[in-house]
Parts: sequence; structure tokens; C-alpha cells
Amino acid sequence: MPPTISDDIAAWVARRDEVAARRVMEELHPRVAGIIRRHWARVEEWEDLEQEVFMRVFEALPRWKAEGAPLEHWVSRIAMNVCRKRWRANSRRPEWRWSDLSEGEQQAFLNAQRDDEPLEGIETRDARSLMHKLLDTLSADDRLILSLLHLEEKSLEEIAQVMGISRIVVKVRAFRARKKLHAVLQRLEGEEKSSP
Amino acid sequence: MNDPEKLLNRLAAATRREDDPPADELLLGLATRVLAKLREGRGPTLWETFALGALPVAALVTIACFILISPEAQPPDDADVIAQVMLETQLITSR
Repeated sequence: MPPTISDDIAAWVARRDEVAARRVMEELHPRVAGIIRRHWARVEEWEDLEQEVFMRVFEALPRWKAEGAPLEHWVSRIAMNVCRKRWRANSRRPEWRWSDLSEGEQQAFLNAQRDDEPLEGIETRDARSLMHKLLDTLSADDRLILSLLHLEEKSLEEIAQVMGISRIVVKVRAFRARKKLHAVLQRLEGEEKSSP
Repeated sequence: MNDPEKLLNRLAAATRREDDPPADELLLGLATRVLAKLREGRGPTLWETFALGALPVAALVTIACFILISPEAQPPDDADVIAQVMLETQLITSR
């Protein structure tokens, strides 16, 4: 019978078994990579981010309790916090103009505006890069809240848990962050209408 | 003007669609690098980085102190003068 992920974690914690550690990474990789792809625009940094996430996971594994949060949730939380740390380090808050958007991003914007346009008509890659540009305009914490809410479809309770703040604070901050994005979207729409 | 909330929700929904190939296989060498880093332990902590950075400053301060408070730079105090006089007087040297 092959060892379970809990057996592998126990083997790593007890005797730093590297074969077991590799199996743990293989098991967790799709989830970690998925989170990073959804939340980080620059492809060339994905590998570096994943390495950082796994470093943190293995350093914290001795403190993980099987009877507590499920491993996948616990790892997702670590991955999101690594992204948050990187967003914080990048303090630049660009103010995108319509002309700064690529042709694909402009098309995704216009297609998303049309109710009659099915979602399939919007290129995921363009929508994602536009969404990242919009989120770039927010602070790291506001960005994390909206990313979890809109991209991961997490509940307010789950977001509160990830961030270590109350549900009410999450709700208020999400409302304000959305208002900021609305202002950016309205500005872009105005620029698009006045563009030649 | 379109409803920006609706626009945001449609963009988010389009973003969530999984069009990329799934990230099934672990990136080549990633596991090896993670394990190597775990073996050698973490890099220097913030405190260690600060301490190492402060080392040249501390060395400069020490050298400056040596120069400024060297024995030659200090004027002799009263006890030294008395001792010198006593050593040089006939009273002591004749015995």
C-alpha cells in the first residue's frame, strides 16, 4: 500500500525524508501552481514564487496539525500570503490608461461590457491580464481580498481566516476596494469612448 | 455608462475559466532546489543582515576612537606629573 500524504509529512517531520518530501510537493504542486497562475501576472516569476511557497510549507509543516484545517486549505493560505508579501514589496500603484492596455485587454474589456456577449467570447488570458492590471491599482491587502472574493470565490469567513481579520472588516474593505475598481473601470470606459 | 459591478463580475468570471493547461507536472528541478535550500537552511535573517552590514561602520568607529583617544593625544594628569618629579628629585635618586 503506497504511503499517504500524511505518512509522507510525518516522514519529513520525523527524519527529513527527502523522498517523502518530493511526493508531498508532487501532490501539492497543482494547487500551488494554480493559485500562483491565477494571482500573478508575470509568468517568469511563477517558478520563483512556487519555490518560496514550498519553502514556507516545509518550514511550517512541523506545526501543521492533521486534525486542524485541511492540508490543501492550509497550503492555499500560505500561497496567498506569499503573493500578498510580493504585492506589498511592489509598492508601485500604476494608473492605467486606455492606451496602456493591449489590444487583447481592450477587446476583453469591450466584450465584458456587452451583456449579450457570452463569457466564452472573452479570451481568458486577456481577461486575466486585464484583471491583474486593475488589481495592480489596489493596496496589497485590498488586492488579496478582491482576489480571494472574485478569483477564488471564497466566502467572507474564509477570507477573514486567511487574513486574520474580522468578517465585518473584510466586508467593508471589499466594498471600498470594489468602489476603487469601479472608478478605474469608469475612467477607462470614458477614455475608450473619447479615443479615436 | 455601463454598470461597473456587472463588468467586474463578468471579467472575473472570464478570468476563472481554466483555459491554461493544468499544472500537473512539477517543474523540472524545482523540488531539487527546494530540498537543497532546506538542507542548507534559510538565508541570513534580517538581524544577521543588519549585523553584517553594520560591521564596517563598527570597524571605522573603533579606528576613530583609537586615533582620538590615543595615549599621546592625552595630556598627562597630575598624578603622572608628581610621579615624574619624584623620580627626578635628588631625594629619591640618591638613596
